[in-house]
Amino acid sequence: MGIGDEISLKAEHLFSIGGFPVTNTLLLSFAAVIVFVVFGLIFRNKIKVFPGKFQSFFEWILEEITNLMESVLGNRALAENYLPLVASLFFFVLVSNWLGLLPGLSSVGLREGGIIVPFFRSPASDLNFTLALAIVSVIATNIIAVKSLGIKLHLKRFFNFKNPITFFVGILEIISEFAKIISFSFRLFGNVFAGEVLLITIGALIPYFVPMPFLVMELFVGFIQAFIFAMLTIVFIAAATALEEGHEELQKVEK
Amino acid sequence: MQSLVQNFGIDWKVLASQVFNFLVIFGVITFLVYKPLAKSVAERRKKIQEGLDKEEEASRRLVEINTLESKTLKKAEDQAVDLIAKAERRAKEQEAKILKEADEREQEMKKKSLEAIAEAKERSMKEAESELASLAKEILVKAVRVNPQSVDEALLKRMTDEVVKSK
Repeated sequence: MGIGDEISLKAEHLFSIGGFPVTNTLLLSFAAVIVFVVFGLIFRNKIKVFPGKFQSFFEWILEEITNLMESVLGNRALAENYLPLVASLFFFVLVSNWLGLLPGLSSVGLREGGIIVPFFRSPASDLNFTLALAIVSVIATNIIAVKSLGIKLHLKRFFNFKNPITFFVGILEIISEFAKIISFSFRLFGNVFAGEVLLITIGALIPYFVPMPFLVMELFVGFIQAFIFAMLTIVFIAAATALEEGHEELQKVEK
Repeated sequence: MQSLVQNFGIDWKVLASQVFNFLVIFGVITFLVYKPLAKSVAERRKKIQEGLDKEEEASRRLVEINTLESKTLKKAEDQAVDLIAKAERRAKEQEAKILKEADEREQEMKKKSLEAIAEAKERSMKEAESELASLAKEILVKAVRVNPQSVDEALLKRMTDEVVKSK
């Protein structure tokens, strides 16, 4: 039994509920959801007009994210509008990455032919998770663009028959939407999966003390990947909504 | 493509579950964390703003009160000074009046006494006149009684002395 046997690109299928398969990555994702729900319920009841340390800390985090978004979007109101979406993406990726790093998590599982199939696995090490988030991000960006530009102006970005150049630019835009999904999902998947493989490999080679710096590094990578995911979403939202000005200028020039 | 999907284990059902998970978290963050938090922050901002407004109002009122106080004090002082000046002026007037009255009275008294003196003088003159007349009469009587031929200077003198002596 080699190290390679424990590494699988696919998330391991555990069981099914009503025809829906449940993999170990999905299970940890559920765990993250439970963490969020419990936290949300506790937090909601603890909110006061004059906050304690707990509330102040989260207010500070959200404030920082809003400031960051404001610096990209150039508008405080817009930043506050899109904050829940961006914060959800960020915290979901962050929490699931960090939950996946919990020591001993991958050692609890079913033994199947000499290989332990763990109950839990970092959700982002499964392409299903990252692809789901990438699709959500890109669709949300498009919805936001439609809301702020109007459906006509937004579609004009993809289907523009004014001249051949704009037509091909439109085709490129369509391709780039799918490229976004691919790059979003494979970036996150690649980093987290590589981290998993790294930790398994190091752990198998030298089980004591040596994996610890790598674990710390993976904590950092988990944060950075969550940050990048959220940040790119902000940038894409900014690009999709800021198009408005360019179009207006273009229309003015045409007149 | 098919092998890609198979190698990565992409399953639209798992994918849908993950999307569902995300939506749950999105809901939690939106409705349990962000909105209540934004509400409380807005409320706090409002309260702080109210406090600041009140503070500003209070300091403004304080300045008003201070100016009012100094104004009132100044007014009172002015009034006091005015009052004193008035009283002084009135006292001076009174003084002058009294002095004038006294002067007048004095003048009057003087005049009266002068009049009285003059009257007395006149009266005494009159008396003297009448006395002189009666004296003369007596002298005449005495002279008549004496022999008119013998009337001479010495005699006249003697008679006058007599009359004066008898007086």
